[in-house]
Amino acid sequence: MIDLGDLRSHHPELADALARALSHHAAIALQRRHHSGVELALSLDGEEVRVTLTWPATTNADAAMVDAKRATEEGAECIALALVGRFRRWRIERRLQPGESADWLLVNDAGERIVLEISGTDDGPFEARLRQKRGQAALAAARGLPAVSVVRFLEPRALLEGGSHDS
Amino acid sequence: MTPDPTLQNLNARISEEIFFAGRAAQGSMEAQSAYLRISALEEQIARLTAPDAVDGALARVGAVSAALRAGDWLRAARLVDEFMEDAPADVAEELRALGREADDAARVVQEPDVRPVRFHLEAA
Repeated sequence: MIDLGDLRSHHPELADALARALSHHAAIALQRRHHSGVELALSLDGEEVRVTLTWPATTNADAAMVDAKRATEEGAECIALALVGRFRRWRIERRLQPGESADWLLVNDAGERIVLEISGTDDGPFEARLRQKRGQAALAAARGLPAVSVVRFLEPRALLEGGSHDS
Repeated sequence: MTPDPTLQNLNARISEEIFFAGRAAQGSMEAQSAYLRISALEEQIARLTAPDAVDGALARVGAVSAALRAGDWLRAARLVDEFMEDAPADVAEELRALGREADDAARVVQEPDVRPVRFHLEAA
């Protein structure tokens, strides 16, 4: 089980305001169709895993105050960061600036850098998004091992791949 | 690998600044001042890291690109000059490209686009 309301348990190095903003938007994006306790279908480098997601409930008023696209994008970031913390034990080093071809710089247990590109969609095409993001993350390979995560809120479904020498 | 606490703190702050700068309208005063703060944080990280290390390269390129996003081409040009002194080839290439952007921005300021306008005065 992953509690999205407690992102800092996976990434204590994240500033509190940033962790709360990401968690809040994940809750809003998920709650369009699901309730806390939903099962996420996760593909981890090709291995199929099911993981339960929980989050603090939000209200319709909360959702009305947030741009829907932003909630989808930031919600996907929250889920992807929680997944890499839980399943890969990658530690966040920093967020990257726009134009860096990836969103986050992370570090694995061996001290190797990983550049993670994250994409979120509510109900859009998954595979096309994945192909696009693979290409984008590859451009950031000079900074670290490229990794990609795509999250779709419809089912919900997520994929995490890369970030190792085998990939 | 135990992270340097000062660097870790700067990384946490810059992550937060970059995240919230992304929410500001592009080119707005809010975005410009956020990118000035980001440029200053990147510069601090650059001073604590080696130019050929991943975090050092990111910080050097990031300090300049953030200054350009903030509209401060003078600061961008100064940082390019300073960071070029010890930059490895790949970082130098990125810095040179950003330096050209700073030069272009400076040219627009120094050579404003003023054109003559023709008009007729007619008796009332």
